[in-house]
Amino acid sequence: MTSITSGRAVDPRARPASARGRRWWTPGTVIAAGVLTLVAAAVLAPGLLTGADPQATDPSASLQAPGAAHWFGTDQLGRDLFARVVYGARYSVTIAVLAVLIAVVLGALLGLIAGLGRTWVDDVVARVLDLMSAFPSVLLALVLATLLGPGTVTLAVAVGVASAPGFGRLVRRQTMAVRHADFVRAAVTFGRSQGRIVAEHVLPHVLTSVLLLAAIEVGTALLTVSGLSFVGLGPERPAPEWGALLSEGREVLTLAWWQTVFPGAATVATILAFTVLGRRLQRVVSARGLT
Amino acid sequence: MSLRSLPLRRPVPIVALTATALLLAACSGGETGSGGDTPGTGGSLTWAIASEPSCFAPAFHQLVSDRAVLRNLVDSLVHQEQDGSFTPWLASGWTVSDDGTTYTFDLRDDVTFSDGAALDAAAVQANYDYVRDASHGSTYATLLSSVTDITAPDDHTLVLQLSAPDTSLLDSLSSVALGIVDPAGLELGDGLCDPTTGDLSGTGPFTVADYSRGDHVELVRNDDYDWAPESAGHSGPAYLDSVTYSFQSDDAGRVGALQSGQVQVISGVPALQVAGLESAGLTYQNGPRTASTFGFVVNADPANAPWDDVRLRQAVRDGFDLDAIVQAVYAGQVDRAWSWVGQDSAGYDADLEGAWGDDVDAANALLDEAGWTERDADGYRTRDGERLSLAVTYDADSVRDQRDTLIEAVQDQLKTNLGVELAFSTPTWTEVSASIADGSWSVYPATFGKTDYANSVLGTWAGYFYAAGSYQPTAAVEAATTALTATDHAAYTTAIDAVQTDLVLDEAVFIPLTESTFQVATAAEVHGAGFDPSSGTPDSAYGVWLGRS
Repeated sequence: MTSITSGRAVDPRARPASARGRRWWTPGTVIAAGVLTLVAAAVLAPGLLTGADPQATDPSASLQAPGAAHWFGTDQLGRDLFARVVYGARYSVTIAVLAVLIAVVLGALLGLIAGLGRTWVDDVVARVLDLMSAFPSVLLALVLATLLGPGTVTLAVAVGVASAPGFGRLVRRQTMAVRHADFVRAAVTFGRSQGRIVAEHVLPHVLTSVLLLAAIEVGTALLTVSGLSFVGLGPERPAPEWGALLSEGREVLTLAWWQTVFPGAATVATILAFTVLGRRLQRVVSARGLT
Repeated sequence: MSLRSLPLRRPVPIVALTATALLLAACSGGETGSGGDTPGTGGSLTWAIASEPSCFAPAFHQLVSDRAVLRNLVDSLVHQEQDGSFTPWLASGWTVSDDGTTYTFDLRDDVTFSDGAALDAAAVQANYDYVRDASHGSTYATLLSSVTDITAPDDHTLVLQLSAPDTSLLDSLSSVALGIVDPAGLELGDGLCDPTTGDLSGTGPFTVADYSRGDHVELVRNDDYDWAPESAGHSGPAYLDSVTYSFQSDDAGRVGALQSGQVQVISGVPALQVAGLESAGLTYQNGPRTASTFGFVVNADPANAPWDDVRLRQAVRDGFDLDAIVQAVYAGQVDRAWSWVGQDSAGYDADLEGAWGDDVDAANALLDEAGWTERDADGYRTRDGERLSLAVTYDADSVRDQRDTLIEAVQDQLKTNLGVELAFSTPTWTEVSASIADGSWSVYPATFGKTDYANSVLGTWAGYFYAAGSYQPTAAVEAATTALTATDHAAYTTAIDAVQTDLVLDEAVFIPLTESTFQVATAAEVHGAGFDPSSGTPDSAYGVWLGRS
């Protein structure tokens, strides 16, 4: 596969396609992969990481500082904060991933319609995508989440719809490029149906860049999800979603720093891990000339 | 560095310094009045409050907290004291007929409205007649529902004729809701809500000077004021030149504003911040526990089955350790409640203390007896495959003072101790009020504010929460009716005790959680801030003065 690269014009901004650019493992990616492994474990099998019940209250152990018994300390009701952060991953990360899936599907659909449709269809869809992109996506998600009401699924839908335009524009651009390629023209000449052309030729070409963008977008979506949950638009309490934990912690910030710092650190670490790995993936793939 | 080596050619920092100094001077509203330890006239301060008044007209305001601001603008006929008794205010005295149905008030003859008009019996009559006429849409028409006729035989005599004795009448007359305004403005109706029109004219110690919606209202002293109630501690005009109420909804923001000196007084202090405020030399005051308490109002109607079974309601009431929960959530700054009636109220029934709560074994026995003996995979009790679940809906806008945290603690204890699921959600008020209107509601966490308890049982319980269903807390309603028309104190007390026993012990349709109070914190130089016994809210700024910090 690497042989393709040699035939390409060199983009002066891009790093040289050296061994370093193509290498997977850098210290950053190793740490990021470690973080994501922990997060994945927390999502899939939180019981492996902690034996404590994230909902079990113990008023006599209210607001205890981090220590051997409670690694991240306890909250006002004496709940183990480590357990809450671990179990919270299931909410935060799942909602973020779900949101990105929704964004990918919706964006791909709109992008394909625009890229393959007649000129006026493209004009309409492209303008809608432009309009949505011009509107800050956090604000759009906030508006949608307010309209749909608080909850796990509605939050994923709100964030997903709000980040769909990015994917829509990407897919449209890629589709446009592909539709005039010789092999697509050839397929048209041979009388392939539009559906088959999309499935066999257009989608595979578009897919790589969409997945690369999706990897990075999970981090952004996680930030938006936590933000909206922070202002009360997330899952119903007492679900320990990270944004909700931050919001609870804010009320006792002067008394218990741990209740804000640990959920915040978990959020930041996960977002950074997704972003670092996503960017690395992008660099490796472009160095290997897969897009 | 010697003075000469300073770069004198650059005047910019000096200008900047001067500007900063001016800015600082402008920001610190708390200029000292007398500067001593005794009350002195002068100065002004900024008072941060959580909610902007919903309306400045006494007859149309909607939030109890509005009264803290409105009390500056209007006076009442009688004054309620800390012990619940009543003393002269705009009325210099009054007599009650032996049958308790005729009240004759003598009015002061030296009172004027802020627009210069004199206060006479006709003016008071016009105010009361306006409010009690339901067609005017005042929120407080029911306060005067026992009044059949009002007459003003001469300029300074007012006679109220009642259909039956009414133990709540003086309480109502002392309220901000029946504060007296110049009748010239009455015809504007709720148009009087907007203080910028200049039509709102009361007899209070302050008048509105400037109002900026969403930001602040500035009040200035009424220099003619000379009719404060005797218990106010001083007479004549207020000490302060002006007071500015600044609207700051964020709890932490208000505390920060006080700590940094941007404001001198705040209302509404989060319990967990109190220790920090006191260690910083600021004064914290918790108001009287005269309001009805905060707790779960439970729907006992068959529409909310299986919770129409009193055994289940009693089991939930006794299935958690309220003392431990309240201590954890409020760090000792808020008291747990025992009754629906606040502990500092005259009608409080102390017999309820220790009579219920935190009896997990008895609660489990009640649930077993009611047939909820099976358990599902999550550990919740079931009967015929149905999970024992109690839905608590609390409209998101009303959630404050960490009451959601409190409910989460109850939720976990009910699960662990009893195997009862408490499904807690915070929908919009539109949804909640619709479910109450059609009777499909389950549990509403409520506080009723400072209220006449007998009136409230009839109006709020029978007339609102249980209006749609077939269930009624019959014993409480009967006792409340007795209390309302009682002619002697003993009969009143017995009846109000019976109301509490029925709601909390026998029917368990109210599960008390915490005492509901207002709080005030002040900078060290501010003195004389207190609470208005008629509403439990922070009092007007009449007695507030600036001294040495």
